Amino acid sequence: MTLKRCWTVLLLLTLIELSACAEVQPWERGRLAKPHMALDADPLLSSIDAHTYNSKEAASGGNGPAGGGCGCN
Amino acid sequence: MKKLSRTASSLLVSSLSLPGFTELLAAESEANNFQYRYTLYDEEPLPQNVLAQGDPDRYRIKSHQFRFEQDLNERFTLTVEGIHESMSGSSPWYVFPDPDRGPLQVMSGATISETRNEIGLTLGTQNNGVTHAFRGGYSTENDYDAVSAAYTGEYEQQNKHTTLSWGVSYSDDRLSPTDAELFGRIPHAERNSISASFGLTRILNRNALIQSGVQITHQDGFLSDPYKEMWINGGVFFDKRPDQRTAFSWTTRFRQYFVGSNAALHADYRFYDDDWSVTAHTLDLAWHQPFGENFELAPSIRYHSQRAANFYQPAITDGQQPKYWSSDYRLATYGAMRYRLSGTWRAEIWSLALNADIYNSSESLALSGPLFDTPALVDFWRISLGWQISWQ
Repeated sequence: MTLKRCWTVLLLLTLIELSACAEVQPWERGRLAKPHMALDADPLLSSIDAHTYNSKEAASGGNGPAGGGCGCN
Repeated sequence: MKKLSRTASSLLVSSLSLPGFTELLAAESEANNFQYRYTLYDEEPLPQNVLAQGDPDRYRIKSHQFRFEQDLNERFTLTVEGIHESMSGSSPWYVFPDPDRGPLQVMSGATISETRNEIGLTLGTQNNGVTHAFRGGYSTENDYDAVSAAYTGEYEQQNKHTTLSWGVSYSDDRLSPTDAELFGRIPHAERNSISASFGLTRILNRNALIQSGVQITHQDGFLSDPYKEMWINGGVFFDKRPDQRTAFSWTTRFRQYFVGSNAALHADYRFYDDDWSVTAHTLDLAWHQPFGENFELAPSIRYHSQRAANFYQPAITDGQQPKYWSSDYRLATYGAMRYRLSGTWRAEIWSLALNADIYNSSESLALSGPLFDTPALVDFWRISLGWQISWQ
């Protein structure tokens, strides 16, 4: 089941890659480079977020409290 | 040298589980830099009407994080990050099925007080157009030690419209529960995790980009919580979960820039599924609105819904003798909302960020799944202050 889902997602990723996106020249990417367009603007905040949700939710981070301390309370 | 790009390095960061992976992929900055962040996390007390015994005051955690990144030469970049946490408060043990008042939560005493320290080193380099990063990490607390290693790579296509990213990670964990002899807990145990991921980041147009990726994680060993117990037909037994778990997650992130308001919409979604029958959907939406040259305000909302593990029950009273069991509320069916307001001040070489969170969880917020009364579901608030300075 897991492998089947992986293949499905990889197929979707391929479709994204092959989709007819607009050609964006390097000098047209100023807006994409703005700090508030970043996919992860704050690594430390993302890290503490992941640690918090890993400790309190069954699904956060893809599994339970693996590594990085128990977080089991 | 070329560092891991901001787009690719953050790939899957919200879905990643192993500590090395998370920090490794969140690894890009514009220049050499140092960051520090202080976070205060506080759980709401358990309501008296669902408390059977123990201390209702739950966890309070103070965290200090730092991160230092420096180019060593033209080819190599070194990143060092660490965290020191101090934790105190009480923790849920098991659910007592009171025939008159319904399920009541038994808590530990307020004797838990511990610290955790983690350090990680990442070496990044580039070879033939592919950026590589190798990370090693170590985390220790009085009852838990973890050693982790991770590798991630990325390849940016020549037109720079698409970046491919991939990674693997491994963690070896050792448990030595507190007061094992006194309470009859397992004295020593081990577990390990291995994870692999693949993703793609694509520029859609001059105002939008998308990132999508999958991750598979396999855990092996003692996966039960040595402190959790369960009421089974009149007796109390330690938590007993399967000794393997395989999880799948698919994360997609979308960024859209709005020219008129100079604002950005962030939309992140994660689907999660594992062989314990846990299925979850997590959606995070944020609106980043700059005011002037230096200040930005970002309200955000996060919704999480999960379906219970197939061996979860608050308590067993009907004579069943299952192979596995757990009354850990984190494996229950429930939903949760998190509300956040962030403010960031950016100057020439430094920035300051303040984040305030409120998190509420409830059975009624779940999309689907077997519903039980779960008295230990947690509500918390969190406040966090971050500071960064950069140099060439």
